[in-house]
Amino acid sequence: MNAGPASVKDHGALPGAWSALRWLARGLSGRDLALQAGGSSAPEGLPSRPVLTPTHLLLPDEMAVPEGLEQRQLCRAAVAHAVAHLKYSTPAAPAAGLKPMTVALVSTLEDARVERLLLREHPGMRDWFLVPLRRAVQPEGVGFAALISRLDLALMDPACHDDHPWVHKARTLFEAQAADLHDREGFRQIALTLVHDLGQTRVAFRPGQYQVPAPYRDDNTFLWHHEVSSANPPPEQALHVPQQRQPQAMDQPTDGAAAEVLAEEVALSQHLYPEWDHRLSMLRQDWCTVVDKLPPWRHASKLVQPVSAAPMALKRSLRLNGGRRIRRQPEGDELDLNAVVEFMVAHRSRRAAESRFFTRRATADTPASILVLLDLSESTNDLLGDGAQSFLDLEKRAALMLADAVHASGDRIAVHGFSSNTRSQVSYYRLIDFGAPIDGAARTVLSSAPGRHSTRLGAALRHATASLAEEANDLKAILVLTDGAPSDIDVHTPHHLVEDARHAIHAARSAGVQVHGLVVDRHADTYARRIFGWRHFHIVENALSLPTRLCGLYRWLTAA
Amino acid sequence: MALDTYRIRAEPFYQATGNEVALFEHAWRHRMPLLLKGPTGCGKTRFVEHMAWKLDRPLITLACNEDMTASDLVGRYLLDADGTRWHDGPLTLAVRHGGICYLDEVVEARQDTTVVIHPLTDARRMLPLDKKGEVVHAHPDFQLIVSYNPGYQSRSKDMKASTRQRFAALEFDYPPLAVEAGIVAHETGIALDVATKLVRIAHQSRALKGRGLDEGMSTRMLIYAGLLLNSGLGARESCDMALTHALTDDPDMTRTLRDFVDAQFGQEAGA
Repeated sequence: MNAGPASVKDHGALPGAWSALRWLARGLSGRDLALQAGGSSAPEGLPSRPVLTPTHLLLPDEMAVPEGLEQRQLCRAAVAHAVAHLKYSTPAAPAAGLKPMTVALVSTLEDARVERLLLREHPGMRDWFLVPLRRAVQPEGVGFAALISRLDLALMDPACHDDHPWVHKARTLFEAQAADLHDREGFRQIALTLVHDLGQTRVAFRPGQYQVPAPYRDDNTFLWHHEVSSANPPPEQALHVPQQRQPQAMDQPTDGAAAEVLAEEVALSQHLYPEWDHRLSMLRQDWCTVVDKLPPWRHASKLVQPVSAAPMALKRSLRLNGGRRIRRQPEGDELDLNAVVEFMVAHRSRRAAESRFFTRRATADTPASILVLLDLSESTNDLLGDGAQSFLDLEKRAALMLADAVHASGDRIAVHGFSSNTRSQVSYYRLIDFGAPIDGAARTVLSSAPGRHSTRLGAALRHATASLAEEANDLKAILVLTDGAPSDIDVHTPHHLVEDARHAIHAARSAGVQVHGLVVDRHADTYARRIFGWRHFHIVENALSLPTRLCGLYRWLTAA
Repeated sequence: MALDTYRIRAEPFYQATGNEVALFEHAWRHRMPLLLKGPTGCGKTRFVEHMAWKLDRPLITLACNEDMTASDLVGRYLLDADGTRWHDGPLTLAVRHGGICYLDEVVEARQDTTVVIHPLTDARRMLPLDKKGEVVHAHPDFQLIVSYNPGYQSRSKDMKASTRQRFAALEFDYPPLAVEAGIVAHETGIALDVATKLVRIAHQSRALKGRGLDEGMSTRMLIYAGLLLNSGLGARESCDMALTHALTDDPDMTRTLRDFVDAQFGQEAGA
């Protein structure tokens, strides 16, 4: 019944499908569910099924899409089913002492139960489930999997007639219990009865050869907690959960080339900055040493490529509504009534009068100085979801794209980066400085900035604020791009660097510098808000949208 | 009386979701300036109309925009055959004759425009008309109300702290599901269960605020969708027109929003 597999991983074939599905999950469940390519390790010859965890939904690379159904529709049903489990199921019930067949049947009834509950709020979803169930059913089959597929359909489709006695009984029992869908124990009892009946009819169940028949449903490992056996690693291990990085205490160049790279970094100047200790509520004076450095640009491995060849459309949309009225013009769009009155009064009293009584729109002439501050810590080397580029590449590309666009618009822009290796060595790279041309050399320098060590955000922000102090423009802003909370290896107090960064931003704002953050970390809600303040940060869920989000932030910031 | 045309004759429908009516009446007792804040289309303007009707006061509403000048608020000299003649602006009218003046989306006006309300919104309660050389002392029934939608304005359009501190504030949000469905059903004439479906779609879109959408679907949008539905348009078409396309241009987001619609209306939506 299954058509050829189609690949979910293929971003080219399904552009935007991931973000649309992610939004769907969030809208339906009200919380975030990370989608990832993955799926259960299927028994020999069986298609693999999605895997659900409390935070992730893994969709198989080779999702078997039944004939006549679009892949998107199947993924949509998979998301909806996962949302139903998250809303109504209790995960990780102990499976100890239960026969595999019981586990499978309890799971089947649980699938039907949570879908029923979901349908109460989303009646239109019945079709989402019904179509794949109709394709998956084996109408004449009497094996275990076939019976389950028949039962799945019978429970979803009120119009379905299935005269198999076991299916009929199961359906009757289920419908009787369906008046109280929240009574899990009732459904469990039904499952036990049904298992018993199957035992009587000698339907065989081979654990290694059973897979949930409905292609959109997860493999139900979400529901059960199996005693850990070394033979079967739990599915969680398949996830790329970002690991806590093992800090490198000292530079440990692994080979000669890396050592050479380090040696080539030229320290230009050193600056001392205080750090805020929130437990003592005091500034530790001269606590951090920020070292201005030139990146090892001769070792630029590959040049950062702009996100698109065409220049950004930033210039046109910029400050369209930033109009300001210039009064007392000899010609213009509208009469300035006050000037007209004065003219008339003067005219009647036979005094010489100026006939400049028009107003005219002028574009706002308040250039901005924007400093983009890049997080260059070790974690930025991690490859993004698409596997093709790292966060480091992406933030450089985003910064370059913005720099190109801003440069042409008359505003001043700088791109700086930072990383830290204890308080005595906060490296600060001026990759593109204010007023510098954005040419091949600038591109090389930007490309060569290495990602390593940690993120002492506060010290870098203080240094960035100091650089902005020399700018004459009225609107000054620092846009911070980062992928996680500030940290450093010599800090063991939780929140210390968060509070320090918050303090640095407070000081920047008092000095007339706006600070905004773009944080590519789904779990950044708490600390990002603490650091940047309400309405001054954005959480970028889809890292690939970083360039557009950065330009959007700039546009928002500079719109009059 | 000068403001008779500004009186609201028929009761505007307003469904209270908390004790906002009582809170407003308390503020009114002291003629306290009020700031109403909340997302767009959640019923702030309707609430003010309802209260003006209830308290039987004329209501002068001004939609603020960035081209608005102080003269647009307080008044200006106009020319006529005999020379110049002073013409009271809407704010001055309300101050002089005792009306409720409602500045809708006050942050859209430039900050230097809004400072003219400062002497009105403290103990002085007066409005100096410097061009005319007159000081208008506020009528005992004058009250100033402004509304404000925190969230989508640009940085320069935040309210000045000195302006903001002159107001007591009432926070609005979209009503709870059942109440909102009741409002949509009442305003559009569609059945309550259909209205509930629309509100569910809106709730799901609101969960995407800040994650692809600047704002979720407002009650006002749902009422538009309901009106279209009630005049015989299909569910998918009504929702496309009033909700999905009205809210986003992003094709992926459009797809997601349509899924929300499908999840409520099913096949009939596609038909």
